[in-house]
Amino acid sequence: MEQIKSGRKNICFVIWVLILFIAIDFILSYWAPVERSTLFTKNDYEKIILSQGRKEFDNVFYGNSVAISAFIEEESNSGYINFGIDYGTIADLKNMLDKKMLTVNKNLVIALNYFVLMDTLDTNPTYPWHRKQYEPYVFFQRDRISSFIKRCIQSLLTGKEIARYDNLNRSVYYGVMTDEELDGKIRTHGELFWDLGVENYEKNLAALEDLIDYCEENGIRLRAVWMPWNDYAQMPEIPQQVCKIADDIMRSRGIEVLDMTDAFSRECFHDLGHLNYEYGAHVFTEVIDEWLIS
Amino acid sequence: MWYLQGETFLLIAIFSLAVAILRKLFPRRLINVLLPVIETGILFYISIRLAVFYIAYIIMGLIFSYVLFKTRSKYLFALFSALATVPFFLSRADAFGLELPVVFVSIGIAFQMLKMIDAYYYVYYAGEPINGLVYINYMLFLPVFTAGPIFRYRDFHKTYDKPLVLDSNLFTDCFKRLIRGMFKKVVLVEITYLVLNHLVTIDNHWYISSTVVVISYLLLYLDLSGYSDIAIAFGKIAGFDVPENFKKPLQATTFTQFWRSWHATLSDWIREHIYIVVAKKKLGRMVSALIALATMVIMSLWHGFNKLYLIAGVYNGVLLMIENLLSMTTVNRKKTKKSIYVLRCAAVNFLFGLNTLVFTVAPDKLIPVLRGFLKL
Repeated sequence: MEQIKSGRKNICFVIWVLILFIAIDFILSYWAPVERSTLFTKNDYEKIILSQGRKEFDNVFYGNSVAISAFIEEESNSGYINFGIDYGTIADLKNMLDKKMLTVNKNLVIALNYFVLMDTLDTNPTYPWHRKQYEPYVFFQRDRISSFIKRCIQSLLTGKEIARYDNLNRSVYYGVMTDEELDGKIRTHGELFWDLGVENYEKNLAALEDLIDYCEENGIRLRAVWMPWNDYAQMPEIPQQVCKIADDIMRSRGIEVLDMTDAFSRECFHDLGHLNYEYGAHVFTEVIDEWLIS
Repeated sequence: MWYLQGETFLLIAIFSLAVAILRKLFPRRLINVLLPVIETGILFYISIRLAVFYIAYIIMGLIFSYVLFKTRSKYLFALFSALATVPFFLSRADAFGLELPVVFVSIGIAFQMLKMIDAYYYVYYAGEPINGLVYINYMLFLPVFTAGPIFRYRDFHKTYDKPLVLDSNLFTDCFKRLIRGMFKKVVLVEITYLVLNHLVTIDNHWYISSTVVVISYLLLYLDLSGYSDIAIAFGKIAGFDVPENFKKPLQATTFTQFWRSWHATLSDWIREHIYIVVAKKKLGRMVSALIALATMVIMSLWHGFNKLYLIAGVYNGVLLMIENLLSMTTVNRKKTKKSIYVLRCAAVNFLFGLNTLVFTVAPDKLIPVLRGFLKL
């Protein structure tokens, strides 16, 4: 009898702990304190959603950091939102749309370059679509929570106030790199990216096809623009092949594509792909606006 | 460290629970056949290369164990033991300045190598054959696959033949131990690391350096005992009595006692595998002391091949040597004054704490911390 009572007590304890754990996880996932509070660092997706106050848009201009630094939505008359996110890929966009983390009602333009199609590129692990269904909220946000706790302890030890992250501006690029700096970039990119075979782009190329299907099914007008490339360096062979494959996919599916690869001169660029914000971005926005409105 | 990766943690948790449930439903013999199949499947899911490597490694171990049993050749025993270490050394080739292609995934090889060698020792010295199914289960056992506690083949065989019966008490204990282990490993380690990093930036004086040593000891304890708790909890849920790794090291009054209570399975493994070779021979105090030194150096270099680890190994070895030479390896608690007893515990643990700095403090911060002891 004692054993049965003890057994029940033990099982009740385990069940209650599990229920508490699941309940807390559910509440935290719904409340999303890390995403909302300025006490935690923000990723580009969160910055956009917090500054816009919504996840549903009529017209979206999507891309990676190249898009962030190229399109100035405040200067555009097209009504497109700059939805560029750091390390953003086509697969990320498809994930956002599938999981209703982004809803596009009318027009979607994807700002393309080979990085947007690269499977093996580092991503920002805090983007919410990376969270697996079985992952507890606290575990998924562990890096930012851990950073917050560290800052609290540091604040206690040093007496300084805890820093807040209320700047919702995404990173843009200023200035023009010198020849030496560009040569350094070419060396780095050459070592890290340019020899990666086409198989390292397969998932995103497949995601591109899925995106086209999604847009067709949902009545979204999909278009694409090949982002400018600094002619200081020749576009490397394999990335060029990948871009050709993506281009063929889009054209075969009737997607309107604007090629701006060779459209800009060197003074518009910060580095090989990013336009500088003080000049290149203004030129880009002005040039693309007409096409966006069309 | 698989327990810090969400997916593998979940896989091992599901594995342990599934084994516990299967034990209630099916006979032990069937479970013993199913276990390696499930474990191999999980390894394939995690990484095909990892699974292929370990299947080949285990098959090699099995064949060599069989040959060793048949021949009882000391040369083959030495050769097979040496071959078991090849993947380990290959994975550490860069420490020797060699850039060799490593085609296999070496997760857990440091521990798997010890298990394989232990099996050879079992065959050679005990003269018993290896049971193939037990051996496969022994090598693939997931809760201790990438880290300790280090199971000995004979201990695994015992618990394999007589698995733990999972009742509500045991399950609750394991559940609590799991939470404790995760809390230590994920939360307390982070906080302690932060405090340590702050302390090493402060202008060092003897009291700051002493605090650094204490925090460093605590950090290492939380990290190692944390994952041991998780491994033991999952192991017990699956029915296997995994050996304890930490047995109240703070109560050790000598280094000899300390090394039987801190990361006990590793130090026991190294000590016993050296002593068994020299067993039945009359060892003088000096030879015993040198064996103690060798044990510490090997243990330290097992963690990593560099000068700092070598120095740490020699440091620990010299402390043990001194104890051996002065016959101070044990303390009679009943005959020792409490204050002396506590002082000895503090001294032993503090001196060990100095060694932990090698594992927790960046090399460029180590000398300033040690110099701090000279500043009043």
